[in-house]
Amino acid sequence: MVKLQLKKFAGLLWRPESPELLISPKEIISLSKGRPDGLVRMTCAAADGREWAGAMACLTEWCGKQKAAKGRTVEPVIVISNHWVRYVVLPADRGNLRRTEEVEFARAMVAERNGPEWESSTIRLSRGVSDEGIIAAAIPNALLADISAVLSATGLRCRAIHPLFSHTLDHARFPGGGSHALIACVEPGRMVIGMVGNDGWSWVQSPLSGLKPAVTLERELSREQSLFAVAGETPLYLFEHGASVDETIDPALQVVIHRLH
Amino acid sequence: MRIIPRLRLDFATRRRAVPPGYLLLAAGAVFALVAGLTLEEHHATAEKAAAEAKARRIAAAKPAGEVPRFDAVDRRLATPWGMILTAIDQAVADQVVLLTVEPDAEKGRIQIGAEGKTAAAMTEFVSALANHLAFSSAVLVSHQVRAEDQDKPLRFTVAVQWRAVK
Repeated sequence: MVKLQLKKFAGLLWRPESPELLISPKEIISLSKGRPDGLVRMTCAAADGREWAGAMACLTEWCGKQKAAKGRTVEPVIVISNHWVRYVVLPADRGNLRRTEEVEFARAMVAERNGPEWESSTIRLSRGVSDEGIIAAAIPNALLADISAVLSATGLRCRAIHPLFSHTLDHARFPGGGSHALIACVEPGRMVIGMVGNDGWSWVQSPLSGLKPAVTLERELSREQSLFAVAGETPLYLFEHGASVDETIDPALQVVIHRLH
Repeated sequence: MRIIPRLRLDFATRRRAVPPGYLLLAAGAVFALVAGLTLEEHHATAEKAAAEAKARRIAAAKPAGEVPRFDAVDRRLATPWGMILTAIDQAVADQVVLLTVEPDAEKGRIQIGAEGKTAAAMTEFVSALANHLAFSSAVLVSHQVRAEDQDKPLRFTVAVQWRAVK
């Protein structure tokens, strides 16, 4: 009797399993925390159609396996690769724009910086303590629609959809102090790098990176530091997702690298 | 030590189902809120009745007449038109064209219709109005991209509240 009631109470507060699922152009990686067999990598073959068609085929296969093994008791947190997300920092002086107008403003900024194809994207805004240094992130509507279609077809639903950069930041523990910090999230072929200070974000870029990510890092840092110069050394918190920055960074840039996971 | 701000960017449109235990908790909170509001409403009704009775007594003592109409005329005459029009003129930049100005003297408000070449020009115009000493606030009420125009300008409306002259 007691056992039955305990089971019933546990059922009231029950939550489904939520593995993190990184979707990138060449592979998807699933991580179920606290499980010995928790890390699963699936290589995505190139496919015709949109640039994420191969990843969607992978996602379909992964969802099918999860459904077969666990039924509906799995709700993945989907993490989208830096390749398919763009960021802008909204200017502090935006007038008295309402929330919906800020979103449209951000969409226009993303499209202006990255091309007209980004006009058809979904925007999310970060919220800080003030109106300064707010980040807007954009993901193509078509990608979100394709993810939704795959999930619907397999009968699963997701708990959340996060960009890799923000997901990494939100789950990291930062050791350093100081008034400013650089944050870089490196993946094969693309990285996101930005500077954050006491007033929020100063800048964020998501450049393509070649075989030597350090070269791209140096290029972005030297360009942005000419605009947002900070006196003294600046910590650079580096997150490496399948790509490593093995080379040394030019000492003239005055950054101290902290590798985080 | 500085704290890196959390971004919390979630693109999922469908919220996950809330476990029933939390639903019960939420229902309890709603019940408590409704009970509190009902009690407050009861107090408010009693206070309102007392205020109405007081107002009736004051109205009975006041001579009926032209006071409200004179007030309205006085407000119109007191409107600082020169200062308002100069302020709007100063806020208009190269890339913004003024289309309409509709004043409402009763409320101390002006509805301005304009067209801007870019979103930046629009926000700059609104910001200039908001920061002008003549106005206490300037709010972008609506905006729309004129798709039929080759330059895709933004047509927008701003509501401006002017400061009372003392």
